[in-house]
Amino acid sequence: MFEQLFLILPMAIVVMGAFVLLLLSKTFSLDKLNLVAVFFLSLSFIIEILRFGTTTVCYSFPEIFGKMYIIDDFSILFDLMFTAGAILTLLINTAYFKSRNYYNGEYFALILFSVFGMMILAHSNELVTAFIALEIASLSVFALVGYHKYNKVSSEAMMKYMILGSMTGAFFILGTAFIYGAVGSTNLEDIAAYVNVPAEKDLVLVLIGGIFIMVTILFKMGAVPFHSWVVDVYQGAPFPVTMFMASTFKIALFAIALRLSLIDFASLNIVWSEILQVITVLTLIGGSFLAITQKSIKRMLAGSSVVHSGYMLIAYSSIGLGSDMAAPAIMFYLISYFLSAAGAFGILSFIATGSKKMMTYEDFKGFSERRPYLSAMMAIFMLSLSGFPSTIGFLGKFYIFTSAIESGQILLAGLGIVTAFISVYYYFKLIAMMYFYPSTDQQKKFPFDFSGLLIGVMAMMVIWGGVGTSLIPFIPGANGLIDIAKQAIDSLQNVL
Amino acid sequence: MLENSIFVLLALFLLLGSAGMVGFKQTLFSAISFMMAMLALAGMFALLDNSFLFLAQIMVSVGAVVVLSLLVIVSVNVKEENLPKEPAKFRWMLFAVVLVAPLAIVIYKALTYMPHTWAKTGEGYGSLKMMGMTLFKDWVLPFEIVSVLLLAAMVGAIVIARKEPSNDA
Amino acid sequence: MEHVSTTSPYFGVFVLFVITFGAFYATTVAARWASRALARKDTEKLKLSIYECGPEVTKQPNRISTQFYLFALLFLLFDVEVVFMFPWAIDFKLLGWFGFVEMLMFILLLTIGFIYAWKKGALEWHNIK
Repeated sequence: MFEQLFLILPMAIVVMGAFVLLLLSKTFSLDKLNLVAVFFLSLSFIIEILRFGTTTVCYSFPEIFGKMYIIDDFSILFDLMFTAGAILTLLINTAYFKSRNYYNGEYFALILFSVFGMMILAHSNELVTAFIALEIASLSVFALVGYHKYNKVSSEAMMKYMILGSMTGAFFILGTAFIYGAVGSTNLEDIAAYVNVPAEKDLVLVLIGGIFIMVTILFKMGAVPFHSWVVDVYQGAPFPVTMFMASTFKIALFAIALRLSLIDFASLNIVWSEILQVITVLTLIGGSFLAITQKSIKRMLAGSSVVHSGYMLIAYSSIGLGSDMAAPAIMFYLISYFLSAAGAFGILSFIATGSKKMMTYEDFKGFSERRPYLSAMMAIFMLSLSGFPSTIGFLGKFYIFTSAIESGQILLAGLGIVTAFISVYYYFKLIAMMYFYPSTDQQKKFPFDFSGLLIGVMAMMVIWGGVGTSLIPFIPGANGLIDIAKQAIDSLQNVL
Repeated sequence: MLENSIFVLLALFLLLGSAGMVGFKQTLFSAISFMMAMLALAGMFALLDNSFLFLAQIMVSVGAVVVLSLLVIVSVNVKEENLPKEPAKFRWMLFAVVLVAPLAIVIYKALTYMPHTWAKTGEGYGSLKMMGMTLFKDWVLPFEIVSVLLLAAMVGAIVIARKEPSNDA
Repeated sequence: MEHVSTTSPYFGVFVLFVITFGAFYATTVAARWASRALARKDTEKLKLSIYECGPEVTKQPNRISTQFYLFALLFLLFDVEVVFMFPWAIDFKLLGWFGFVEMLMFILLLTIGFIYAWKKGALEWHNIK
C-alpha cells in the first residue's frame, strides 16, 4: 500500500502544491508563493531523480486504477523535464512578474496544475486518461496565455488558442472512440496486442482513429498545417508563459506521441511515416518562412519553434522505418531544445522586466556593449538553436539526421540540413545586431541577481552538453545524455 | 421500424440545428439552433438506451451550456448592424464543405468498417446503475482526475473573468 | 431489437417534446420571414421613435458586469460535478466504502475550488456595480 503510494508521490506532491498555492493565493506575497511553488516542484524533482533507473516497469494501484497509470524510466525522464522546466520558468522570472501588476497568486497554481496534467500524460497508459490529462495541461495554459487580461493582444491570443485548441482536442476523443470501436478497449497494451495480430479489415478503423489522435498532437506541437496559432499565441502570451509553452508544454506532447508510436501503433508505423514525411516537409519549410519574416524576437523564436518541431518530426517519421536511433534522438533533441529555448526566452523576459516595448532586432543593436555577459549567453543559446558545433543543439541535430539517414530518408535529412542553414540567417542576425553595431546607450552598472546566474548555468549546460566530455564523472555529458535517453526508450519497449 | 423513423427524425433535427447554428447571422438564432442540435443528440442517447448520457446531456449541454451562451447573447445585446459583416459567408461555407469532404469520406469509411454484429447488451445496459458501476469501479483514475480538470477550469475561469478590485480605475 | 427506451412511456413524451421544439423553431423562423416579407416598410421618423411619456429617450449604457458570466461558469462547473453524483448515489450500497472514499476525494478536490472561489470573493454580489 505505502509502496504504491510512493509511486504516485511525485505527481501527488505537485497537485498538493497547486492546492496549497490556491488556498494561500490571497494571503501570501508573490515572492513567498513563488518559493512555495518551487519547493513543491523541487521535492517532486528530487524524488524522481532518485528513482530514475532504479525502478522496474510497474503500475500504480493496479487493482484500483487498472493498468492506467504506468511508471517506467521513460515517463520519469519526462517528469524530470517538466518539473525542471517549471522550476526554471518560475525562478528565472522572479523579477518579471513583480514588474507587471496583473500577476496574482493563481499564476503559480495554474503552472502547477499544468505540470500535473503533463505528468499524468507521460504516465498514462490509457487513451481516456491521456485525453483528460492533456486537457488539464491545455486548460491551464489557456488561462495562462490570457493572463494579461486587460491587454487586447493577450486576450485575443487566448481566444484564438482556446477555440482552436478545444476543437482539435475533440479529435483526440473522436479517435479514441474509433479505436475503442475496433479494439473494444482503450488500454494501450490491449490496442498493441490487437494491432500486432491484425485481422486485416478492422485495422482501418484503428488507423483512422490514430490519425485523428495525431491531429490533436500535431496541432499542439504546431506542425505546419495546424500552425496558424503559433506565432500570435506565443507573442500574445506573457513572457514567462511563452517560455513555459515553448520549452515544457511542447515536450509533453512528444511524451504521448512517442509512447503511442512505440507501443501502440508500432506495426502501423509504416503508414504513419508517409503522412509524417509530408507534414515534416511542410513544417520545415513553412516554419522557416514564418521565422524569417518576423521583426520581433519573440515572434521569430515562435516561428523557429515550429522549425524545431519539424526536426523532431524527421526523427519521428524515421521510427516507423526501422531506425533504432530515432526515439533516443528525439529525447536528446527535446533536452537540447528545452535548454536552449528556455534560456533564450528566459533572457528575453529578463530584459523585458525593465521595459515595456516589443523587442525587435533593432532594439538589440549594440547590446553587447550594454550587457556583455547577457549578450554572450544569448549568443550561446542562438548558436545552440541554430545547431552550431560544440553546442548541445549541434549534437541534437546530428542524432536526428543520423536517424533519418539510417532509415533511408536521405532527402528529408537533406532538407533538414538546408533548413538548419536557413535558420543560421535569423539566429545570427541577432548575434550580428548585438556585436557589430555601436550601442546607443552607455553601459550601466547592473546589479547581480539570481535569475542571471541561473541563465548562466543553463548556458554552461548547453556548452557542456555539446562538448561531450564527461569532465566530472558524476554529471553526464553528451554521451551520458544519449545513454539516459536510450535507457528510457528501452524501459518503454520492455512492456511488451 | 419505430426506432428507425425516430432516428431519422432526430438526425434531421441534429443536422438542421447544426446547419442553423453556423448559418444564422443573428446570434440568438444560432444559440437556439445549437439547443435544438443538443436536444436531438440527447434523443439519440435515449434511443441507445443510455439513460446516464441522456441525463448528462440534458443537464449539462442543454441546461447549462446553452443557457450560459444565451445569457451572454442576451446581456451583450448586439444590434444587427453591429454584427460583423460577412459578405461571402455562404461561399466560404461551401469552400469549407469541399475542404472537409475528404474527412467526411474517411469517417464514412471508418463507419463502414465497423463490425456489423454487436455483442448483445446485458441486462440493465445503459442504466444509471450499470453506468455508475463501470464509472466507479473501472474508471477510477479518469474520474478522479476529472475533478482536477474541473478545478483547473474553475481557477482559469475566475482568473480570466473576474475583475480585479485593484484595477477598477 | 427491443429497446427499453422506446417502450418506456416517457420516451414518447420526450420525442413529442423534441418535435414540438422543432415545430416551434420552424414557426418562429417562418413567422420572422413572413413578417419581413409582408410588412410595409415605413420609415417615418415619428413612427420609429420610442414613446416614453414625453421625455427624451436616453440610450441605456449596455454594460453588464462580467460577474454574471462568472456565476454562470461556476454554475456550469458545479453542474458537471453533480452529474457524476447521480450514478454514485444509485450505486451507493453496491460500491460500499470504496465508492464512498472515492466520491469523498472527488468532492474534496472541488471543495478546495469552492473555498478558493469564496475567499477570492467570486461569489459575492456586492462588488457588482
